[in-house]
Amino acid sequence: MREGFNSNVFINCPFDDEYKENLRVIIFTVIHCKFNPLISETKDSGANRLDSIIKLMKSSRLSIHDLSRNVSKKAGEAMRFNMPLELGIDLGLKNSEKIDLKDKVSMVIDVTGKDKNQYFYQKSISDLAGNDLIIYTQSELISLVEAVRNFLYIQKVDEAPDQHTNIWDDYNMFKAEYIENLEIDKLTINRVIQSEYIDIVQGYLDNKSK
Amino acid sequence: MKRSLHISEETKAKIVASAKPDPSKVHVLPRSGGWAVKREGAKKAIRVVKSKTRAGDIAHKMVEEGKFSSVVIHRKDGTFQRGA
Repeated sequence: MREGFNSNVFINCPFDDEYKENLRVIIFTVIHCKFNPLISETKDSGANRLDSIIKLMKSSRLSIHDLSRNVSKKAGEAMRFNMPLELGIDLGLKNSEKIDLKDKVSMVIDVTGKDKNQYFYQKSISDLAGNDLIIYTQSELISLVEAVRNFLYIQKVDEAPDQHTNIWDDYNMFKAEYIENLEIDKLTINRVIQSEYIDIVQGYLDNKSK
Repeated sequence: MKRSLHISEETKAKIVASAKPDPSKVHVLPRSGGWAVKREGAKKAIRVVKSKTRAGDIAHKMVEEGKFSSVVIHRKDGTFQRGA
């Protein structure tokens, strides 16, 4: 794996149980494409959370921002501002005076939903107009693999990533083994911390390519 | 808040070891709007068909023909369908 700024991908997304499968899919795809995923959970919890996140952003040329929690599901439920806040900070870093951060590239993604298309963003975050927004389908997470894979494909990698269908098949083969083996430790898939999941996926894909 | 537990080193090793492809196995895997029949370790599917039953039939026939030793069927939720 290429270490460092050019190969690091900061992932800004929800961490609730409902989203965890999407995050597992993103992490698997990023590692499969030979990039290095960074999420805020992977750093020490003692430090100020926002400081830790900014540190991760500064060390990542690429970032993936999932804004799918930008509407509340029911009346009175607060929408989540963490993801738009972190996207704003990341865009701010890119536009700062620091030369080495000017190469930063961000991908903004969201799930399909009622009234959720590019016009939704013209209303909710109109300053994002002109930026690519990739919409994926929650019921067909292969569309998320395709979005992430295609984003990474155009980032001047030495070696082109596999087709998204192959990454998706590999994910399903991995996941079946993963779930079955977790049962031995009496663990369910959502109880594993993401940094441990990253280590296992890394080990699995390294062994697969040997 | 639910506590996250650590996976034992033995289990991690088993998961990592399972990555080594066994080309004698053929898998039936969920795809968008269909099912893929694919040799373990291959980059491309042998066939992609709409029905899971049809994909299973194709895979089992290839085992009968001696092209593979066993069929591994997956569910849409990502688990193995055992006893298939």
